[in-house]
Amino acid sequence: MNSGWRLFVANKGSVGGALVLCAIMLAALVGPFVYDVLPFDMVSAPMTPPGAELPLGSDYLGRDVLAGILHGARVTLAIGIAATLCTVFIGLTIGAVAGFYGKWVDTLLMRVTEFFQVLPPILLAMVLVGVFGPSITTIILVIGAVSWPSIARLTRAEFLRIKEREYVLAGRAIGAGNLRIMLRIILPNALPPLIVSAALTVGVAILFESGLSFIGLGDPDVISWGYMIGNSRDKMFDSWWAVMFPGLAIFLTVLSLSLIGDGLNDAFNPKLRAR
Amino acid sequence: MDDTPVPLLQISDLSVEFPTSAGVAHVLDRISFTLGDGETLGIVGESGCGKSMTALAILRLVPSPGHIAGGEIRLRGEDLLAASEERIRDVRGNAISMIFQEPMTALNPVFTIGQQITETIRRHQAKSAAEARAAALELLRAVEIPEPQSRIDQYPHQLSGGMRQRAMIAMALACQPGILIADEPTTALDVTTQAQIFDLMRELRAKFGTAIILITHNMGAIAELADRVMVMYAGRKVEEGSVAEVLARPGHPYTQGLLECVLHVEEEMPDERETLAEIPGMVPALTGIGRGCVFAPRCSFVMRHCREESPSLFVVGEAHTAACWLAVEGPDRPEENSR
Repeated sequence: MNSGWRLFVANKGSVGGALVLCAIMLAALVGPFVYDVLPFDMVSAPMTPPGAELPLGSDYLGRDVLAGILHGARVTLAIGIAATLCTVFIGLTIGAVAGFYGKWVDTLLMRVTEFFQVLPPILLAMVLVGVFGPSITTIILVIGAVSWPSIARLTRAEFLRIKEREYVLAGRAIGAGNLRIMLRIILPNALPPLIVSAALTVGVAILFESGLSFIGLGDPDVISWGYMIGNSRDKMFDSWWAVMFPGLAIFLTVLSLSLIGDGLNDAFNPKLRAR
Repeated sequence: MDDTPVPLLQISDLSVEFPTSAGVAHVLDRISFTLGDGETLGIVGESGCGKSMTALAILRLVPSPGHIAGGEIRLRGEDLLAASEERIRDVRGNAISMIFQEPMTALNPVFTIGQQITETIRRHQAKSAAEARAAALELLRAVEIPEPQSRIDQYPHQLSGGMRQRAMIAMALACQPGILIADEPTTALDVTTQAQIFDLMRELRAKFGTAIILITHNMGAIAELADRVMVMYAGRKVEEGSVAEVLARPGHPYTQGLLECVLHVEEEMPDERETLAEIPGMVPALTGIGRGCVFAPRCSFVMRHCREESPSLFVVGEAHTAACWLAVEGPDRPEENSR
């Protein structure tokens, strides 16, 4: 593991990404305590530009943009992580079962996966949110429900590759059953690309939530970065700061996640890895 | 008859088939043998003769789409082919365990050898993590891995080939199985390490009383370690007997050929050196075997009878059988040929 850590650190971009993400997470955790303004409170005249009074200005209802970003960071990150867990859980289960059992199980599950892949995810998500109503839980589950296919295909490919290895046969020869072989023998060997993929999925999930909020399908009771952009988009030319700063926050978060994913990819790459 | 103890392992008429596009391949064709307590049986033959398939079949691990098409495998009288999936999983690694040819690929790269040995122990025995670890340490000591206290926490890639195979043997012996199947345990190792592993296996056999099925294509390994030897060719048993008998008086032309292929180091002048003998031809495709003896196309003593009828196993010596017509009839006589 040490050499993996060294490779991660050697990738300057990923270290930068990790630092930025740490800063964002720190802001999400302590920001609302330090900067004591509630995001839905109307604290100033509408569309106050950034200045001494309000560092990032206020939106068309006079709500503090900085307070929105700090509070929104919590919601946005929480949605990104929870939706990723949801995505990985669905994708891993389906991919593992398909790859491990093969034959008709594989055929059936892969047809289902393809069905989800050919549907435009944003359309499917709009339908689901429309049906179940826009709450945080629904949004998390919906993101999971539309983005699992890529994880499923990756897991399946890894399981197909690893199940032919001799140590799987050796595992059977010491009396391991199917479940033990899947969870204790194959899964640990399949993890590296899945971890990389999961790191990237967090970014995708954040973008997805922002996209849903932008078209007005976000949870209206909580502040998220996507909600802020969606809410102020009509007044974009009069108060650019109300759209620009949440957008910048999304951009930095997704970029740093993507850089971290890149660094993890290096760290797990056996070809770059010295003994 | 009733007083005869039930043998440790009794295989009778075991057949394994693989459906292929060219027809059904009879990978094992009615193989029978027994293994007594503490005995070492060597199985020899060329690549693809069914040696490894025999090993996998005993544990019911024949890879799909292959399947056991018939026969019986009895472990102390218990029919393993009729056993439930749970029962066979309890047998694997506990009553019968297996070591593989290439320890690098047979050990899981993401776990330490200690974790892997402990996992085997805890799968079959109600032991706490600490007890299992102590047992694993004891096993590493038994297989003579130097500095077991630090090796136990190392990953397979941090060990040398010989040490990996020792770790693999430790894992196989974790639950003190009655039978150890060793599938070419030394093929991937260099010659000096091979000798060390054989010494180790001999010691462990004496210590634990484990019966061993040694699968190899190396006649030297057989002479070194086995009590009895079974020679396989194209999925069939062609000869069986005590090692001394078979090596001294091979009853089947194939066995003779295998013995001639062994390189002898002799004090010969370079110009007197003969080319190493080989068996001409190749193992036949298992889908297109005719009615005659399977070895007939490559046999230098082939007779007309050989091409017409497959020989059964004939007694050629004390507890020594060979599947060859030569054992019961002389070479073709001219009048027979002209008939």
